[in-house]
Amino acid sequence: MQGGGVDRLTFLARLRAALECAELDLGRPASAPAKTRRAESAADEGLVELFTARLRASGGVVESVTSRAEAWAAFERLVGERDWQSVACAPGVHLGRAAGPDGADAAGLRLTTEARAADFGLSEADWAVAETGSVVVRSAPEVRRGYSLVPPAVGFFVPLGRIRATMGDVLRELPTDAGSLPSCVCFISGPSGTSDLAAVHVVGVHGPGEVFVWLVDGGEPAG
Amino acid sequence: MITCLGDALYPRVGVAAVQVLRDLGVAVDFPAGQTCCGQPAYNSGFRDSACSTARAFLRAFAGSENVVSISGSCAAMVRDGFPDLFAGEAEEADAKALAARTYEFSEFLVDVLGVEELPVARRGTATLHHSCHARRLLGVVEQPERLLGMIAGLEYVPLPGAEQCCGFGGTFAVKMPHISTAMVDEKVDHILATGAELVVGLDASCLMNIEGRLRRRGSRLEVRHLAEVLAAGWRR
Amino acid sequence: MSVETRRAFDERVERALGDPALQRVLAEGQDYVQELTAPARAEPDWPAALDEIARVRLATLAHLDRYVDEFATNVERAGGHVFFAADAGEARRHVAGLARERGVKLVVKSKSMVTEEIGLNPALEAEGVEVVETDLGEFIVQMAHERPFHILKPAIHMPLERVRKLFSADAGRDLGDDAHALTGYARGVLREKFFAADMGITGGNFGVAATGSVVLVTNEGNGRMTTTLPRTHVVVMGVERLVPTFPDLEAILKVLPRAGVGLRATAYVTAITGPRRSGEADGPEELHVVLVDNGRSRILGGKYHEVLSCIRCGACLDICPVFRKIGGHAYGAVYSGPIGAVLSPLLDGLECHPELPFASSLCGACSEVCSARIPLAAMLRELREDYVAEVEAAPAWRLGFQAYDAAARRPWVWAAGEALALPFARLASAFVAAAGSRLPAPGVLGAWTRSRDLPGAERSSFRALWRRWGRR
Repeated sequence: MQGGGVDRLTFLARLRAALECAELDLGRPASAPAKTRRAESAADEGLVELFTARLRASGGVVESVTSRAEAWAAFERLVGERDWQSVACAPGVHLGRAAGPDGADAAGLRLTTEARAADFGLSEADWAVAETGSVVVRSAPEVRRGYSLVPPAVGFFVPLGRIRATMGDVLRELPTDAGSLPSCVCFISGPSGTSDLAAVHVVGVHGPGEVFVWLVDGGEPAG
Repeated sequence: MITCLGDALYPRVGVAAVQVLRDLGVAVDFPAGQTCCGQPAYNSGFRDSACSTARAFLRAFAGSENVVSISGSCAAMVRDGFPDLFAGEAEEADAKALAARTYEFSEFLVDVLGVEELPVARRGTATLHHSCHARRLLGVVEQPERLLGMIAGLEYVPLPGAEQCCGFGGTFAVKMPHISTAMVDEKVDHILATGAELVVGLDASCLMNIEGRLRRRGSRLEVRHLAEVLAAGWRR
Repeated sequence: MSVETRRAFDERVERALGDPALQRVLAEGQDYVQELTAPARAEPDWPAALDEIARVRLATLAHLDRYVDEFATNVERAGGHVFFAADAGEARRHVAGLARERGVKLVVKSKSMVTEEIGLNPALEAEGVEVVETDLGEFIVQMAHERPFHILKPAIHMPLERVRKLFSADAGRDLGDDAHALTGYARGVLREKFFAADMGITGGNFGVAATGSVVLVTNEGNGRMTTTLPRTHVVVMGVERLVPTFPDLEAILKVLPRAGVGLRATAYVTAITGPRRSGEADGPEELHVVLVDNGRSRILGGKYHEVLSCIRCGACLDICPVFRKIGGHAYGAVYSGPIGAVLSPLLDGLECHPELPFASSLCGACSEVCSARIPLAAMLRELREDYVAEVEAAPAWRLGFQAYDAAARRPWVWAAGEALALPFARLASAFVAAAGSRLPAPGVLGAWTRSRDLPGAERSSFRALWRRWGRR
């Protein structure tokens, strides 16, 4: 344990003292309870359209499919078109496939749990947000953060039932205690980008430069 | 309210404002006890001097039904600054009461008198510099535009970068002359780019700054307070 | 202001004003951002969102001690460590110590103004640690040995050609002048660093008290790389950057990206709660959160309390007409722009930044755009009062205003003063118009006449005219 810092009690006492001798009206009382907003049904056509429009505007590729099998087929087509050799994903994502992780299947596609050398990273999204065109992924045992971060192109299967209207709606569904949260929850709203260099917008900086989303109707993952 | 600057250096603006108000049927008085609202001292951090000056100002206007100012920033000082300056003081209620009946000139014409047409003519093109305090502290934006629109024969050209400060800022202009000059240079560039023959403003202080730089840069562009434009073109 | 600080300030200002390329970048940059952010500001629910942000931030600050306690407890519950740093020195020493104890050789950093504030990089380098800034803008200014120019866009002042030279020198070959290629170079260099680094250091945009989560709002992906790949993650954040719960972030997340860069959402909003859990296959093994006071508790509960609500959106820098002319470096402080002109004197002491409250025309644009409804312009004015009362008021100004007040309270004195002064004013005006800038005049008169003509005074003041008219 590091020594040398003021201890917690002293630190907090200093803050408390500052507040206690405050002469000002410090504003309205403590946080109002979260507004209960009805989470819109994902079957609402408006949300799917909005999500698609917003993510496309940010540079993402969005396709709607009617089943998991169709999603997987679309994904394989993409892999073929792009001639990707290796895809990183969690084992659960490809349940039902012919081969397990770290093995090539009949189509010659190599699935791996290591993100660093992969051409593409595939993840299940835990939620999607229509207003911002975001997908939300949580880290978990076997669900590495790297799958949605390290390869230059990444993709997500999003069951329609997981689409929410706003970020606020997802924030309200997150666990409210530290013990129940995974170490990382990430809202991803498109490819990485920057305009820091002479104000020129460049896509694909440190994070992936390409984002693909397959919206899957009735597509809750197996397992 | 003639304001300290108006009294000393821009009496013609006051004269014009009185003329216009009288032509619109308003009984105009000039309480001679008025001198300065205290804004220069207030903005420079000299609260005691500001308070003292402002107290005399309060007394001067105590009996006035409405106070119309030829300066947006001075009107803003009364409406926005006085409540702070007199907070907790004996004059707090009086200050708030004065604030409630103090107006900038164009605001008074449009919002209080409800002027919708004016017997004013002037041929040519004009652009408008809204002053920052009028815009942001009083919400005065379209009132002067509307009044200019009522002038027969006048073509109004909106000023690019209208929301940008001209760089006067009271003592800022002389405390930070390098920055102030750079700011007024951009304002002058915008004004010249409109091709207008006349630049109109609501604040003699902004106009003093803009005109000072225009002349130094060799421009003969006409610079007028809105009241002057209305009075000069009034068809009697 | 002392003669030395004023001279240094003037030099910085003149350097900025005298640089046409910088002037162009500043003006175009502001115009561009204002254009980008205008649609959001025009939306009908924008003002309500700003009110909500102000409400949440003030509500948090009102009980900050409680929320800090809750936050720290939850960080620990999630498996992280919390260090309470009273000042910059404690914070620096702690992080340097963490690095030393772990034999850290390479640190990757994701943008954090607080780490600038506490002077962290030199402290780590003194331990023999290589520190690499990974935000593209920070990477560029680090290579150029400069300070960040803008709180969100650290290298916005650098022309492409200069970046090309810097990167090409680093690469040992000419990389060309294509921004994409140059960015690709940075990406390649930094990728190696991410994978090799022993420690990742980030700031924290917000901490969520209820869960002990640290939220990062980023676009490039370096924040995610920095918080995922190295085995130790250190967060350095100001103690005031908390909200009570996740839903309290809603308005902030709606406004921050739109006010700052005109985006509905940044590419990544990442909530980190503790280090990797048992069973998780990536993520850091250790998480350390360093909460920094460094003067914030002095501001808390005082006259300037609301300034702690700042969400660092950058909107005030992007609208300020003074920043438009002088840019970030001229402020001579870690934080620049209107927020910096208020915060820097409050954190470091007015005597360290005596010019900043006066380097403003008080136009009010900053207060108008502020995402957290901070009355920045009013605070600048108030800081001037503090300066005059506590630091120094040049006797000439104080006496001048006292004399002015004495005249203002006595209208007959005032009128007499006008009658005496007006003839001189008319003379001076004609003289200056003829002589122009060739004539150096002293003091405040010279400050005006160096670049501007004087107004032409008339023969009489208004009150003299009015008296002559009688009642017409």
